[in-house]
Amino acid sequence: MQSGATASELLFDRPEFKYFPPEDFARLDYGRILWNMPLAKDRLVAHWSDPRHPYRERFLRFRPMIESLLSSKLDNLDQIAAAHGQSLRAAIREIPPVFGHFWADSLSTTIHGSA
Amino acid sequence: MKASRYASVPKRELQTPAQVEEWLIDWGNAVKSPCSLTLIGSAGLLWHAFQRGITTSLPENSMDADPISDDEEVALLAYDAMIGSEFELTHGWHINLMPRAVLRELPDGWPQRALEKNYYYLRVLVPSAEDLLAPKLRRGEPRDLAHAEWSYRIGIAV
Repeated sequence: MQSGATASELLFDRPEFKYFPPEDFARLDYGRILWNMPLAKDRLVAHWSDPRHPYRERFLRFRPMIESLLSSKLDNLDQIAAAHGQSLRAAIREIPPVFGHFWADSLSTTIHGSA
Repeated sequence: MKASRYASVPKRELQTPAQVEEWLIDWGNAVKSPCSLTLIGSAGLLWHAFQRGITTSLPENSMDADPISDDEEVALLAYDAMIGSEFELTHGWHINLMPRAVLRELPDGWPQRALEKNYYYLRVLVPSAEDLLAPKLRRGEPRDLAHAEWSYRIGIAV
């Protein structure tokens, strides 16, 4: 269990996030939670790299930035986005969603060999 | 045309108080260490109804339950129950994890008015029905108003 404010709580009051969709905040908050678990992290990477995933190409293109957003201290999120020429809003929206109909497959992929 | 796997998704959606209780019992059995979640939205209203022994169905069904959690185990269970998951195929509704920031939309002091219940290792915190209705009444969409009217009618909110 993490302690302290989540990313969404820290960003919620900033004007540029006033109309930011909760689903986008959720991908950041829960992506950061799962990134702390090696198996869950591997599953996310396997899922987002899956040829069936519609954002696979974007994930591969933005993978360094996405991994940094999910693993860095909250204080660094703006700098990470800026380093990749993005606003933080745009950067967060590059975190891919998870699709339930083949998310379960990422478990066997992760256990039995990477994609 | 090939039949979709979703052709077998039950059409019952989320409508009865017992569905929420059964789901939380299942998750309580599934977690292996102390965890917690906060339940908002119509699933929270259904939870209040079940705790009072009310069986009346929600007037406008819900497609999902909206939990919030800081715990890895709960997050993983929720990812396994997202839209399109086996959970949805089985239950007819899915889990939609919400960020903790949405709790800011509840009236000040909601934690002091919330109720909680333990399902084995899983502690479930549910804001009062009045607090759950506040964002719905602000939105004021027909479905939100129907949920509010239902809550007042069955007596979980005043």
